[in-house]
Amino acid sequence: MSLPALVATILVAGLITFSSRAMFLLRDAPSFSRWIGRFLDAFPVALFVSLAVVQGVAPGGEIEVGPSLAALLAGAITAVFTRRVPVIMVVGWLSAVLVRALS
Amino acid sequence: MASSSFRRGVRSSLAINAVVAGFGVLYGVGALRAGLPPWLTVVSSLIVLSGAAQFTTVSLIAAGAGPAAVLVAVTGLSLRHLPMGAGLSRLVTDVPVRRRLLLAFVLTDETYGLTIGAAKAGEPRPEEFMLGANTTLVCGWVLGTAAGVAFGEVIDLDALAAKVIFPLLFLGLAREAISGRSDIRAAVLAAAMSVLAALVVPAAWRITTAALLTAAIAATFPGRAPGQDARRSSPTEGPG
Repeated sequence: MSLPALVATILVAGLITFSSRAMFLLRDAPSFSRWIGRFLDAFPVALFVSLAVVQGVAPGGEIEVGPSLAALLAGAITAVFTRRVPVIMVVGWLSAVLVRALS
Repeated sequence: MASSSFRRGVRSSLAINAVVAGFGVLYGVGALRAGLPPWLTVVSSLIVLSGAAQFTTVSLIAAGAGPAAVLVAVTGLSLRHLPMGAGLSRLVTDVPVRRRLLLAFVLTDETYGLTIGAAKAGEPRPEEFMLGANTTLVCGWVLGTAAGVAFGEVIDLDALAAKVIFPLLFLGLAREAISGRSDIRAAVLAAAMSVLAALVVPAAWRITTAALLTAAIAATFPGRAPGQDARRSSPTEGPG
């Protein structure tokens, strides 16, 4: 890609991400139906679990068995006992390192 | 002078910021290797401000894709911002437009998760809290990118860390957002939908598809067992 095309692509990408962020956030006290309200209540958990899981799943749907899976499982078990994000990350990371060392 | 909510936002995002900065370094190194000029690499972190969109952009550019393919992928990844913004708009009522623009500019997965979690925990000024978290996160991301650009050749990032730290971060943010059985059901459903999405949806659309479908199913079938929390108060009903 040429430099002008690269610059234009980055600028438009920035415009797309900003527009998607601002579209609803700029509305003052919007009123939503009950269904939308429930949708918005469920969305944070749905988004973050998807973000966590998608990266460990291959395009064919196979789940990669190894340090990454160990980290997620250990993190999930830790999350049962604590809400503290750093603790979940440290336990998950140490589990991944341990599994890598053992394999 | 910074309010206490702003300072809480800064404090709560510091640990996460270390991870974000690390990935900023990784992005800086990757973008340079994909052929982006150093100045454009840093500028992209400042104006796009989305790790998912930026890593996808760099991967596609490195693979020889044209602008149209990049922008379609960025659009797919950005659709998730719509419900994020709608959810936050219920928390930031009576906030001037200029400040809303500032909030929107740095609306990231991380600050969204922290702010929703803080509001559920009773944070009285979610918009101030979010501004604090935003400030820390944008500094970490942009400075991390600049460090990657400047020292990329000598920085040796552990590939395993790059692979596991972000999923763990999002797992932690999911835990912050869980406050009842309906959330646990949504989490299990989202995991299943993510695997399903990997089978049938192009990579750039998987996260958005899985999250939107999960939230739609959870909203349609909220569950009515006695004592369940389908009726739990929404964040708009206010903290405390």
